[in-house]
Amino acid sequence: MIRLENVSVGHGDRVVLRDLNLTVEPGGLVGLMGPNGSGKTTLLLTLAGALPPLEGRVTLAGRPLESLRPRERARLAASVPQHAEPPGLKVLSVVLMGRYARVSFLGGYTDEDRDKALDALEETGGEALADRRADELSGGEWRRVLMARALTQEADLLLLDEAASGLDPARQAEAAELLLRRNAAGLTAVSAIHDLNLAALTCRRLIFLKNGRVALDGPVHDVFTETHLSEIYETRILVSRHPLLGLPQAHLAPGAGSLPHDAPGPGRTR
Amino acid sequence: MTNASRAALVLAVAGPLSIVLACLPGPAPIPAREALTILASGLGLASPPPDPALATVVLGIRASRAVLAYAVGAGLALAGTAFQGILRNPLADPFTLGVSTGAAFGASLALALGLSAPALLPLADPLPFFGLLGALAALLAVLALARSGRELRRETLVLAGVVTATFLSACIALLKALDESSVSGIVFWIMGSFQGRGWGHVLVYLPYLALGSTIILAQARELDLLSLGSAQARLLGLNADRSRLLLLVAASLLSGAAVAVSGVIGFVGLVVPHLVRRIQGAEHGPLTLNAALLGGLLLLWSDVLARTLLPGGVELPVGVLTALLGGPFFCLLLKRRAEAA
Repeated sequence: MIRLENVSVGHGDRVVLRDLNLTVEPGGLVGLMGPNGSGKTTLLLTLAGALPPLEGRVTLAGRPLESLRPRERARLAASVPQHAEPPGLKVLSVVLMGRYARVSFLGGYTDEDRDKALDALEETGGEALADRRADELSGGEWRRVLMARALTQEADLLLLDEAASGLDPARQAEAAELLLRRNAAGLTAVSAIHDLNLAALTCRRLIFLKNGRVALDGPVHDVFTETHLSEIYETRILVSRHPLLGLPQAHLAPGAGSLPHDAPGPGRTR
Repeated sequence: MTNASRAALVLAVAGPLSIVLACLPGPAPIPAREALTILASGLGLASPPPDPALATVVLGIRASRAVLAYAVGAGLALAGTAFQGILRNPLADPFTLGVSTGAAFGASLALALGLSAPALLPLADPLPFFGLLGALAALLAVLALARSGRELRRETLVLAGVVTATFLSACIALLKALDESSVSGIVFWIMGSFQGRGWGHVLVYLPYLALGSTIILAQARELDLLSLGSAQARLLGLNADRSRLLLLVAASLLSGAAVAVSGVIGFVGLVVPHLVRRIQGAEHGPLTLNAALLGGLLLLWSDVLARTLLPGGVELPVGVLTALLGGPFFCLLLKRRAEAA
């Protein structure tokens, strides 16, 4: 689905990530992790085609990213951006924009487009918002609208940037279930997540970015360990099993003393 | 029926009706019944009137002026709607951005250089073209000036527009001083008016109105996307740079041609989109259409007021009237924004 070859990304002169080589298979469910400022958002913007790579080759569904026209790209990859200022438009109008890449040049949105937008709103739990003004929504409601808009694009690849941040626990669980359900139906997703535990629950593979490189990459069970996490985040992190799902969960230990002096060496990259 | 389509229907009916009504008042005392008969004869619906002098007043002076005011108002309101959408700035309009004054300078320059051939061939009249060039040049200058800071702030943009407009007004005054013979031609651009305009001006303006408004109405969906910011618009599949350029040129086209036939008329493009948004929301499909219809009405009736307000056939420039209306409105917007922030 996604292939990066010797890719460097950044803004202007500032290189954020160097010499990346990554492949995401169709149907993959990937969490993009790393400390603040490690380049998660920058990489997502590059994958979405909003920020051309400084060097290297990005291939999306077998086609070089730079050869795709904006509409083609939006049909392949949908984004849920982290920072998006809500406009003074109705929610339904915003969700309908997900259909923009699929309507004909002169034709307008059809009833079918409208139905798909309403369905997507329902799936994200925002059906009651359709006639509200986007700039009058709460932060959590707005995130649901952005998610619905991305689903309306019907793209095979979904790029999420902190899509669950600002949601209360119930909404977070709903969003996670939505993602797992869609993934089971064939959607490929790359999701930048700060919350370690949410990442462990909603992703199958985790890629950790640090200091401009991929510090660690592998299936959740392999990389989500005390050693790796403590090393990457430079603080002591304990890992236990989720009581119901058996997946690893991380625990910070502030006040329990810093990492022992004989900390493990650099994490292996796979 | 939605609010938007109800509003469109009312405004669309009010347009022709207002043009007819605007032909009734004026310094020459013509009974309403007779004026209506003359109008009907002009449309081929009645036999020609007995007095050709009255027919000239009603058809040649009042009707053409009403149609021109309506068309220019529609164009300015559309341009304002487009500028506000593209720049995501509720304070933008051809006047506050300095685009109108840029157009006036372009047209003045053409006139001072003797490049104008008005009333010969409407389509070949170079004034609107020079107006467009001046409008685009002023717009580019304003955008560059506003960006010289780190980010494009909303108030900075308007400040840059005011600075550019002031500078260009001075340039127009300079042209006037250098070239005494063109004074009478140039002077009306400082404060816009429809005094003495006729069907020739309507013919000059209409092609630009048709082209500019077609582009903006057809790009309504793109305006919605651009109102999210170009980064998001791109993610959704819009070629944001191309769309923005197309819309900026279309809006400049409307502003430039409007100035070439009527001078600088401020605030129509600022006030009208705000009024329409209050009625029906900010979706650009209905917004562009209703703004055009309401802009036509607003300027038409402003012009009727401008030419009937003072006794003895003395006229106010309509630009004075719209500024009297728009200035306080602008302050209100600023105040509300300050309270919201």
